[in-house]
Amino acid sequence: MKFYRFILLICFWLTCNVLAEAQNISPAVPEADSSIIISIAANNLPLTQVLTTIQNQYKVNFYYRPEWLEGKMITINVTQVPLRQVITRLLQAQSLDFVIYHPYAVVILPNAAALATNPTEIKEDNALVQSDKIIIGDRRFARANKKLTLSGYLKDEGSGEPIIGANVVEKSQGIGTATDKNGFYSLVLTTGHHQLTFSSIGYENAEQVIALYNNGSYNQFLIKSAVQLSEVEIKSQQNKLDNLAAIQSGVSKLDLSQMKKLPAFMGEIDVVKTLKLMPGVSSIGEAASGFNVRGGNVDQNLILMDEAPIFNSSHLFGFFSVFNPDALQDITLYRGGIPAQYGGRISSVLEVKQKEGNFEKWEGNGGIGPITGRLALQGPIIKNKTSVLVAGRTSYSDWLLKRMRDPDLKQSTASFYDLSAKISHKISAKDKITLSAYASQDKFGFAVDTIYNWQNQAASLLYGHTFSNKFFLDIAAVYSNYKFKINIDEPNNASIYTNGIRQESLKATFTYLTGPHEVQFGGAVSNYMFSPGKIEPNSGFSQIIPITLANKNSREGGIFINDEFDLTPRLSVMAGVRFSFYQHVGPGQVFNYAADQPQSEETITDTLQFTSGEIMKTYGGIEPRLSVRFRVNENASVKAGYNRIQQYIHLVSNTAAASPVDTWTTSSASIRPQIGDQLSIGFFQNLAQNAFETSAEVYYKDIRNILDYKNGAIIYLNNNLEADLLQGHGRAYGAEFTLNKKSGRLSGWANYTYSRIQLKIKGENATETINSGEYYPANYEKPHTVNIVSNYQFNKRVNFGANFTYSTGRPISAPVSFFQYDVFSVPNYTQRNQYRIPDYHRLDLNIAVQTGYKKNKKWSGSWNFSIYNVYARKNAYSVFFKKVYGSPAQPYRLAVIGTMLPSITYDFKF
Amino acid sequence: MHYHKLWIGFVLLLAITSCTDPIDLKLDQTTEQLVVEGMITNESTQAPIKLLYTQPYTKEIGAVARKATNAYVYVSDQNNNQFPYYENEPGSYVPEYFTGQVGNTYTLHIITNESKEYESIPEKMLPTTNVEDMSAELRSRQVINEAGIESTEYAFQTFVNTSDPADEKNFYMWRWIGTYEVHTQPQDHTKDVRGTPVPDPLRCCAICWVTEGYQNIAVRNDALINGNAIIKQPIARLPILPENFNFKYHLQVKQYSLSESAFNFWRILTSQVTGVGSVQDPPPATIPGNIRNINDADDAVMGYFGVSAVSTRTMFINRDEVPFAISRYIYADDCRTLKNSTATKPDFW
Repeated sequence: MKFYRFILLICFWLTCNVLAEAQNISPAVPEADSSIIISIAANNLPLTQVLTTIQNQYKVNFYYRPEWLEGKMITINVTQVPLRQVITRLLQAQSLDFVIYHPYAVVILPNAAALATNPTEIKEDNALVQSDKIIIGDRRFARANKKLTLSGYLKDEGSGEPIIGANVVEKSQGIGTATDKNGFYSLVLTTGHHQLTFSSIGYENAEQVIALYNNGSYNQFLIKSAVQLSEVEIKSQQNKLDNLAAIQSGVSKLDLSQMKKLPAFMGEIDVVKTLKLMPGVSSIGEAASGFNVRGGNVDQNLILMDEAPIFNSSHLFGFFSVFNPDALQDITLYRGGIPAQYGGRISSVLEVKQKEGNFEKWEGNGGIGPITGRLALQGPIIKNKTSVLVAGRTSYSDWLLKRMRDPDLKQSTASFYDLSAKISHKISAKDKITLSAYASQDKFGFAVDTIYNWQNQAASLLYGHTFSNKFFLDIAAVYSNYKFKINIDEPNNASIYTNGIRQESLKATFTYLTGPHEVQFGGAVSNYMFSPGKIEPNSGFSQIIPITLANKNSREGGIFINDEFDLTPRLSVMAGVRFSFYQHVGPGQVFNYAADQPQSEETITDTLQFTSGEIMKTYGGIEPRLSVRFRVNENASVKAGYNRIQQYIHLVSNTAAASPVDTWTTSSASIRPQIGDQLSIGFFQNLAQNAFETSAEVYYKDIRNILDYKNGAIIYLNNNLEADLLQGHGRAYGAEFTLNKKSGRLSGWANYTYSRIQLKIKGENATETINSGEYYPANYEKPHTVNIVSNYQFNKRVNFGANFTYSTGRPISAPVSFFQYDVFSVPNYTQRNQYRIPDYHRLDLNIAVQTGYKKNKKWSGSWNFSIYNVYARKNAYSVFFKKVYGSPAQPYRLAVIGTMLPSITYDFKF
Repeated sequence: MHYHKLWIGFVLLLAITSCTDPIDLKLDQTTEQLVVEGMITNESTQAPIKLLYTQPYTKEIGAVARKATNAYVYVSDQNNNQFPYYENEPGSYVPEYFTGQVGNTYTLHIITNESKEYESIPEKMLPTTNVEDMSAELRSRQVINEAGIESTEYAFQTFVNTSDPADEKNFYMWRWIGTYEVHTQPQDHTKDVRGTPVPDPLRCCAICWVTEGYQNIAVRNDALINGNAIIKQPIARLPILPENFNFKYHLQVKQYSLSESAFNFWRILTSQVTGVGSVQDPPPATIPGNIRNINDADDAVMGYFGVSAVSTRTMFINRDEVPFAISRYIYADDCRTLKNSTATKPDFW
């Protein structure tokens, strides 16, 4: 399936026209050299004569410069010996070497040892020496065991686009790297033959043998694996590399084509839903914004879309995520081994890259599901110079609601859309600029008079410059704005409430490749503006008086350096350090509270006023990052990692699940930054010729200044928010076990996660202490989680998928007793999060069918028939207490999806 | 508050896929805790202070809480004047006579028959403004019943207006009592004789007055309106039914001043008893009271000793304010068998 084979140097000697002694005997039919059995006898004859004799008798040609063979005399007597052995014996002690270039062509050249000072032989794997290869440099001038750099670009065969994050791995030594943003890779290898494997998700693997005798470059094109054909066999190579060769552990890359084969919830292929099938990733339930990674809260995930942070990743309360699958290039989640270039959130980094438009031709794709319709168009504006991609997705749930019989539903509104655009322009071979923009909006209203509305806007301008093939610069200027709004139309309370956060950042990253090192360094600065809340009347009858909580401003900076290198062929290290600092800047007020009393509005003793730009509080710190991989043997690795990250901005939410009403707030004099230290160690093993990859990882995370809330805390328009917040110590620990099978007809994965997150909040007094100062679980803790994802390839067009997921119920606070008070029967809650809702489990099934797939067909489509929650389990989403006549309120569960949900989606491509 | 509304809409949206059903949480049982329900006001009659204990969380129907009887209860003011309370029925304590004074600070003292000593945090009686106006507006909404038939439901939404003093934080609580006249048909009463209704006319009573509305508490602070008048604070929503609007409807609203901690107590209590425990609700928590065991910090006490000034206002809503005919109320029995009903005409009628 290799359409393109890029051969840079077919043969150095031929192109350089140095081969003089081309014999005029036409080459015979190609045969494996081992099949040529030679008998020859010579006594002190010139070497040239002996070779000519062989050439005349057997189907083989020799190529050499006569002066190399001058004066060489040979004595030999062999019968029925393979050609290779014969030549070896012939050239023994003659300071000559040979390359069997073709089965019928042997090139003879001076021994490297004769030219170089280093007399060591270059050890070669015969199989490689004899294979179809590309030669870089001149073997004669090469020294054995010298470190050489091989670099180049990986590109998409169709569009010529760079392939980012692809793996380039040297098979025998297990040395590997990944391509950067420009599709560039660089490997440090020893002199000699190397078998390289190039692989990337969504592409067919490519392999190439390279004979490396000097620093050089090699570019490889990869072909998109358009349909799930049977080349999965090759993929087992790639899996091995992912599992064993990568230095970092806890990094998952989502395969978009794989995602499309999974059962879809309400017909939507969803990034966050798929992430939740990965080990260590969970959420509170179906309708909860965001996700939790290794015991981290929702706000501890840095979600970057083309470098721009996204502050709310959910549509419709978390039923869907804001990422339109048609616009995505790749998705990487770092839950451990977070490199130093990232900072600001302590649990994970989710890096989402939007597709670049095709530079060659116009094309489009889209889909129709029960909830949304999608369309994406891409193509060149100036061929091979400028390309554009525009993708949109919109729900038609509003239209469906209007058709409901229930008058309350009829008056409700629930809709969302998202829109992505990306323009890429190649200024020159060394400069590239990309402008990426994203907008999403949700609108939700119940019975017309109150409309909730939230929107994300993000834009990024990316510039990449190549100084040399070892030195690159990437600059990102980003803008992100999240706004939440409540519109109340009821005349007496007619008002608009808003809150939000805005960020502008500038980041520069230099990548420098030298010897065995890949060094990245750079810096980033960000400005934040927090709008904690504002309410304004919007009608003359409105009784609401306007209130504006003053905007808060802050800035964050970070400088980092990260080095990835191999200490020995088995031991690789990624070490980095980040220094981050944060300043809360004026204008603003700082409230001082009485020292010996609980903080509240009543205990404010003093208010300090700060003018614009004045520094109100500064934080900062060193954040070390380290990942180490030790290759135990061909099939096993041990990896360990440590990282520290400081988080300066916090999502304040007093509900069990994150909700769009929640507000982001800054670290300030009263709110300290959260500091997370994570230590992890894992064992990775491949079994049965890499058909299975397994891993076992344990981690411990220590979180300082984790946030929780006082009982009955108010977040809405609270000017003294910090007085309702509490900070304490958090500890998260767990273990993750995975089994992956990516090749064969039956593929999929299974994982088990054990995960705990506990908080300890012990303040000076009772109102600032939770659960008597003992450790208690966070409300999203799910200790046991099992995910099984399987896919069976029935034939080229039809796939069956089945997912099963199980998790422990999350903690809730439950009343231990109740009492009569006034006319109320009041439940008495004593301790936070001491009970759990029932366990969650669910099975989903689907069939994915490709229709009329042909390589060059104008239109191709695919159907996905899914059934969500096959056995219609009423999984508890929340537990609440409902009054029952004559007895205290009794616990009831709410199952958001209490039934089986079938759906059909049609995806198309043209 | 917005969480709640958001949640209601959200659940509604899921009507097609969601469901609720009871579950068994296997709750632990804990020891009893003292519950103190008490409020003193500047009115001439005081509500009793009730002392009882918490009950275990069971499915048992009709379980009655243990009352704290034979306790020694008194209220003291800042000048150490003591106002003793007497037990008029088990667990219920009333003063001989007592009228609170605005500006005074009061403390509740309790010594139980188990010799445990409890004391409240001193509470100051804050003034409250007069309720300036009351109003009722006719509202209609479309409802759909289980059979899928749409109908219109009419109700009066009632409001109060009150002034809010500027330059200070004020906390309000409103409670209401509605009274209406019902006419029933005791002369048409029947009794069941071996499965057959047999006429059994009753002599009494055809005319009664029914009271309702204790369930509703509205609390509000003036954070959003400080110094502005509170206009159209919603009080009660009164559905228009044959039983309550065939004559006229009497609505009494009491406005209470609250301290900030009392406001928080009521705010958290009402949100907890009305909250649906959803993930969009604030997590339930202990309701912070103001009474403690002076010898044992671990002996948590439920409830709040409130000290409030009260202003009262009443209004009638007449039948002719309903712009359509209301059918006659049919109830062939003694009207006193209705809930919260009396045959004695109230003073204000």
